[in-house]
Amino acid sequence: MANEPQKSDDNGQAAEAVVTDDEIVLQDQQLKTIEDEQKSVPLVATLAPFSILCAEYDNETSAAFLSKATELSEVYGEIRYIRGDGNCFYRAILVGLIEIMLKDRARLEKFIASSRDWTRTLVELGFPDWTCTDFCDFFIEFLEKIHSGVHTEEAVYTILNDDGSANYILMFFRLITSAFLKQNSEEYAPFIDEGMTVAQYCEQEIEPMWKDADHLAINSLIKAAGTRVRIEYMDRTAAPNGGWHYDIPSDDQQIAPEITLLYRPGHYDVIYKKDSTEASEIEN
Amino acid sequence: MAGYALKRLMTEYKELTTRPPEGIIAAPIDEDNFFEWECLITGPEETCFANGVFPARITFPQDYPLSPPKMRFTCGIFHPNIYADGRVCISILHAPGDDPTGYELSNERWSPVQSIEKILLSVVSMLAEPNDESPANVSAAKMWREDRAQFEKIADSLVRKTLCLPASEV
Repeated sequence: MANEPQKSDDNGQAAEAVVTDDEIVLQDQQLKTIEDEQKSVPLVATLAPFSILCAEYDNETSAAFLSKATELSEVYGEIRYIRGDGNCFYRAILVGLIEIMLKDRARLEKFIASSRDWTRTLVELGFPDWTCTDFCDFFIEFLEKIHSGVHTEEAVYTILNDDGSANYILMFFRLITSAFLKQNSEEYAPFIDEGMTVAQYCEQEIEPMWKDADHLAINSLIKAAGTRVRIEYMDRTAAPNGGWHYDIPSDDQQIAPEITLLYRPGHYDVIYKKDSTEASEIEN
Repeated sequence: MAGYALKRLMTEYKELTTRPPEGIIAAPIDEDNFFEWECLITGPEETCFANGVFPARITFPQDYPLSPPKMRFTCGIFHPNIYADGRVCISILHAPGDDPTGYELSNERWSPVQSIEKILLSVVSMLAEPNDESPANVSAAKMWREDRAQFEKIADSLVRKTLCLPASEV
């Protein structure tokens, strides 16, 4: 799942590689190009009609994706693009939750309370005290300002598109993902390879910015955030169950997911159902 | 963006002044610019760098702590994990996936929950225990491995220089 360009990605494996200044300059230029490309897309785009996705494909070169996009457009009315910077899964969940909380005050209050609980849990789990609680406090303050009306809906989207504050908020989501994995390390340890411990895995894959979320991260964040998510796949070979969509948690299929993401190789965007089609879903 | 970085740097500065780690002093060069720090690191005891006081500069990016700072010694230190121009090359100054010299997978990496203090402590252990598996300065690594006496002699003359002592008689 590491197809998405990362802010920095150089897998130099040579044990005695000598990095010259020219190489460093070149590497910096390449990173700058990747970064500029990423930044041409907003972190969180405005809602767009789903047909915009169909328009990305044509029958000649990508017939399978076009047909899948067309099929999805029967059910989904809108899409919100998320910047592909390695944080897209975390950001998509963040945006999905904020949208719910903007409409549901009780849910917002519940989430503020659980965010406070997470702050304590992080410290108990041994996360460095003030460096990690700084991110928690920042996120809780953001939620409280939504609650008190200081942040209007418009202001919320401005903040979610400001690199500095948006990424500070996003760190909270990485931290609770990591904490959830550490709390349930016995359950997750068998899925981590290369002789890494759960803690090492979290430090390398979850806590640093711009690292893609893999299936462990996806599962953990959804459970830690107490939400229900459906992921629609453009390519069914990518789905864990080999189907067209996958719900997490997968234990109880009776409750409808509240956030839906569209997965295309290496990337997630948020998609929204048409109002009238609540009941009729695409079956596998 | 810099506002969050500034707030965090001020907090770290306060932490480092109230609870300074042993043998380390670090502070912004100019209180008007918190993104450029100077630090003094005492060479770890019972190593060839013992008693030396090594000056370095730390430069923070505008999106600190999301991205790591850069660190550069300004005293011409000869060490396997320090480039000839003084740039420090240790895993904690790099995010995972950003591997200029191919670190071990298990080495500690930069993440936003790390801190300046953690970096400085890692630098002290690097001085005590060079990692010659992934050298930034190949000739220093080679000498560390093959001619330890000569390596120690060079280190000793730098220690004397940082203390403004005359060169060793030996």
